[in-house]
Amino acid sequence: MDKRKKYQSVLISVIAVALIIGIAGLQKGKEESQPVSSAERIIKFTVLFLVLAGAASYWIIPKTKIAKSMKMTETVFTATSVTGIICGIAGLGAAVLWPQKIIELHLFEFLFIPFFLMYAYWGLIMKIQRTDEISDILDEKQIANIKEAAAMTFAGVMGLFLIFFFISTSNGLKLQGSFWFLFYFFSSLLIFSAATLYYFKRD
Amino acid sequence: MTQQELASEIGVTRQTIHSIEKGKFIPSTLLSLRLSRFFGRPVEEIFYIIDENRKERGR
Repeated sequence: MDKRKKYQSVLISVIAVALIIGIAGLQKGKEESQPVSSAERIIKFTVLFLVLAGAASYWIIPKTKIAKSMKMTETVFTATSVTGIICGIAGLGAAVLWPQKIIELHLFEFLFIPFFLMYAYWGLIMKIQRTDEISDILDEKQIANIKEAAAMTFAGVMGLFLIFFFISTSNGLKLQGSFWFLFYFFSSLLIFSAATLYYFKRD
Repeated sequence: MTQQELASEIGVTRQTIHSIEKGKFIPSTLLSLRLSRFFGRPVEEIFYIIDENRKERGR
């Protein structure tokens, strides 16, 4: 096994362990199932449809003539970051306005879908160009900017949540787990996308 | 030649060429060599270190 594959399997194992622990925790705290509303059904169906359409296009499009016209451009890169910013702001806004509804109706997945589809497009381009390295479709400045943005997101989210934590404990607020999750999810998305765009465009 | 044309020839984005021109982004050896080959000039003619001490003394 070469070094790269070894590190990949270590990373996958860590993610799998985190996933198993998370699912076990969810099962433990599982509440009685609630009746599914029609709004939830529509949102779930739309999300499922978009994910399946994305997955289907991943297999179908490379075999069609459209594939030739698809390539990674500066516009696609910028559009991905802008989409991430919009999804992040929409998600944070919805989390503040309807913290319970956004989870119950699976609205947060719906708000994340545009960003997911942009990344699926990157994956599609990688498939068309027959490469498994992200550095083959992005240039070295873009890769450097993503790394800077990742570091900024790590520091930013840690700082943000420390502030949230101190505010919530000093005010005696009892915030639900789902609320923390939504804020973590969308603030990471927002900071990462905004930082990527900032680093890419600043010079 | 526009930045976009050069970027397309070298295989990077226009923003990357712009940042290199401004001196805000330092390209890798590979990209420097590609640029050098494209312009038909030695790398050290395109990229060079500005001697900060000499600059200070010159002021």
